Amino acid sequence: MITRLRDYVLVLAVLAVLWQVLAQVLNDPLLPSPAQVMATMWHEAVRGDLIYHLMVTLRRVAIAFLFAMVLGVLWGWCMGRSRRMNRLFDPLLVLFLNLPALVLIILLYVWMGLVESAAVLAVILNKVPNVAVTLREGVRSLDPELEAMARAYRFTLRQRILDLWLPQLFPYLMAAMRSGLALIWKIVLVVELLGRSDGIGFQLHLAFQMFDVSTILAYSFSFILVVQLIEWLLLQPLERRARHWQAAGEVQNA
Amino acid sequence: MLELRLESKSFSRPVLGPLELRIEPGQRLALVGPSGCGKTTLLNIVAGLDTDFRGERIQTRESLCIAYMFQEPRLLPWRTVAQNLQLVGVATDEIEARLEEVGLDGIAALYPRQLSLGMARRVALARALAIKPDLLLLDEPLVSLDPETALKMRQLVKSLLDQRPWISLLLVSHDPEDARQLADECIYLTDQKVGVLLPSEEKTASAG
Repeated sequence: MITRLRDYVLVLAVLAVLWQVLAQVLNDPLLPSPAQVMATMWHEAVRGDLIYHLMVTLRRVAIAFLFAMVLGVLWGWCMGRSRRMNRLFDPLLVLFLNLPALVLIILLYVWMGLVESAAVLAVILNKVPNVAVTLREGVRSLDPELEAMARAYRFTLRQRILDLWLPQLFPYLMAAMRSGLALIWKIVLVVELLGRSDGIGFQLHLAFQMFDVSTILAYSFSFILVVQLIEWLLLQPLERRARHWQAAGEVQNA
Repeated sequence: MLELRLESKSFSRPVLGPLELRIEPGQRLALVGPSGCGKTTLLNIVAGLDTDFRGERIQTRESLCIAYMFQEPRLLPWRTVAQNLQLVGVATDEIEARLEEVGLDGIAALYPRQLSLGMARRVALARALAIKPDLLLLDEPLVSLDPETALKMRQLVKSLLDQRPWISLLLVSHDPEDARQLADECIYLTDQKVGVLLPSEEKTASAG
């Protein structure tokens, strides 16, 4: 853990130094130095803007993430379990998977107006098919032998969910969550840029109009930091706990 | 207690049948035949796991508790031995006793992948007996074990069944010796999958 943290900091420091050198050599307002970006971040934080817009975006990400995961898991479950459902929903899945995020966002804004629900719905609809595809694979790989065992020993629905299915689907859920978080926050920014008056996407929009690269980078990095914290404080501990059994010691002899 | 009149069972080709089977309380029955002759398929049908066959499965007792010990132990790999037993209703303070009964000690906190096949089978046996079955289905309980471990396992199964004379047994094995040691009656499944002798007819030929 300590060495990993050390490497992480080291890589970041090297990148920052290279960036600083490059910025000084070019001496162009379109490439601010890391020190300037940090200063902007600090300034925005003190003013309260950074936290406010960060929280607004985070709220949208959280809502969209939650709904996309729940709907995607249910959809993927149905398609993985039943061939009929799969045949029925597969064309819809292909359609949504290949529909550009931007098209969906524009259509929903046109149909529903520039409202919060349209923004969040656009993000959810963009993410759901990805979760569904991942989960469908997971559900198809469920072990039929353990399934038969659970039936023979009359596992309750609760036992099947918690003890039989969830542990088998866990790697697929983690993959869906990781890619989901990354994808969702990027789409949320687009949604905010196009039709909201708050959030990081909106701030980026303002900064873009003034070619204020420093603010653009300050807001981007602050959100990357938040996503990294979610990874460290939530996803990784969750993963370690769930994979505990795989790390258990070696085979004993009878 | 349980009656099976199987006309035929096929996957892509016919696997089993025609065949009749009647299991009474306390009856100890063995099915012996070469591998691939449909023994496990028959057990799945008896267990009620496979309902896709031509014929009838009649359960004369309403609440018939069937325990199925599969050929592979089929313990949940992400749950400890203790948790695997708890899942079928063993109380926490009973776990050690259940494991001791099958000759295991101090393994409750281990995960199945930390056990040898012999140990995992014993846990599976403990799980099967824990649900207090009326009928116990054993699918090749000794296969892939080294001779010494197999011998111990056979003795264990025999003594545990002797302590519970009310349990009916349907044992599947490729080894006639298992059938002789553990069962009173024996059915031979042939390669042709047909012409199977009913237990009553077979009894005179194979008893003892």
